[in-house]
Amino acid sequence: MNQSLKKLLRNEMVIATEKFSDISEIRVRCDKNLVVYTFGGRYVLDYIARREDIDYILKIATSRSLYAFEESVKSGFISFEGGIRIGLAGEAVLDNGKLRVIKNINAIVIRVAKSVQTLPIEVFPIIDNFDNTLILSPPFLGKTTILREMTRRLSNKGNDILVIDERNELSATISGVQNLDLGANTDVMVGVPKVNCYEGAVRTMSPDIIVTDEIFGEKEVDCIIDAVRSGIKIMATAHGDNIDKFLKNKVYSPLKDIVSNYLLLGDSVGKVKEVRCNCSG
Amino acid sequence: MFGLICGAVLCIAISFGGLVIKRKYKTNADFMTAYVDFIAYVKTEIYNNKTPIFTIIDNYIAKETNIFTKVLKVINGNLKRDVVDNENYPKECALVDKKNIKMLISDIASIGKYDSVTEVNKLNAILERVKVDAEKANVKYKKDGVMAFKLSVLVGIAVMIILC
Repeated sequence: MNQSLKKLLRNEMVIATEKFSDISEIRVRCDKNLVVYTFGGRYVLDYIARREDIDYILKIATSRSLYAFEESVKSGFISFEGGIRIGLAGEAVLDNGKLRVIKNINAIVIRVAKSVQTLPIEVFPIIDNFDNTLILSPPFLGKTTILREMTRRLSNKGNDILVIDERNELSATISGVQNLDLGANTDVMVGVPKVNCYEGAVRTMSPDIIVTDEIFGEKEVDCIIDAVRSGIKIMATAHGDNIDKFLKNKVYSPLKDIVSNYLLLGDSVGKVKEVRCNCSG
Repeated sequence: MFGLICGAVLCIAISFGGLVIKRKYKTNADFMTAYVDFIAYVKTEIYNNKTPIFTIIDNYIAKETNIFTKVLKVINGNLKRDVVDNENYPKECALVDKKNIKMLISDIASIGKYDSVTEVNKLNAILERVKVDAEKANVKYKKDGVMAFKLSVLVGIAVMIILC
């Protein structure tokens, strides 16, 4: 079992889950059966998670300092070492209509980031002659993992890359230290709402490529188009199971004019289902 | 002559006993004064920087060395290993009231479960309580501690006179 994950769990939970070597997700719900996802499937365990399990995970993940993570908690997650992201659900406390904190956290999703240094062969032409690229995939098929590895390779080829990592999934940054390798020439903005980041990134960081995970909504599409207009290339992921269907969506259809390469994942984890590449090489 | 020597030895022994009592009061008064300073420091750090509690304690310990920071160091080490109290304090901490140490452990263990606004409010309440306790400890030292010492010297001298 992943050492960081082991650190996060109480002994009883470690024992219950130790037979799984490739855990990608653990769902801990108060007084419910523990659910484990591996890349091979979903398993409901006999172990009943208790309040103490959730409290322990929070205590370890925040080093007994939940207040130090309150901005992150407001967004519904906490990042932990080794690229682990802990999603939270509980009761919201509002202050003047704004979310102040989530209290009585009663469900936790522990997601283990996977850093692989291999890529499907279909991806190499895109890296060799990089242009604006969109990776589409239904959830849980490895688009973030592929995005991370493509970023690392493009960065090591000498491209200055800026990763806008709103949910800290790509870099797993803890106290300013990136836990996952994104390459030698990569800068990371963590925790900033993405739409607030593009303009500043274009003006001050002047990267060759901006990388971002899970584009969402009209505002972000506009930001991406503006960045591309400024001469910056973009590499992003989005949820989708069909390239044409995705581009027919009126929110995302403007991307048609700027994106050259599409990668659709499907069937199984990390498997490329379709590539549309306008690579000149 | 023998009576005089015995009396002098007893006088010194009784006075020393009084000195130890005075030192115990002084140690606890100093401990409580440092306790107030520490809670104020924690409050400022959480309010201004949202610094994690272990970092706050590490920084505080690095600032100075006294009985309080020695106790704090042990508590911090225990909490990092998720042990609440193993009472593994250095010898020089023996004079500190167990009650004060338990209170400190309980206060530190209660930090970190809520958002910063709640934590700061809670720390304000702790600070008020600790200030009152520190004041009481100082009064106790000045009254009872000093009196115990003076009394023990007087008793010592009286014993010496009687034995002479």
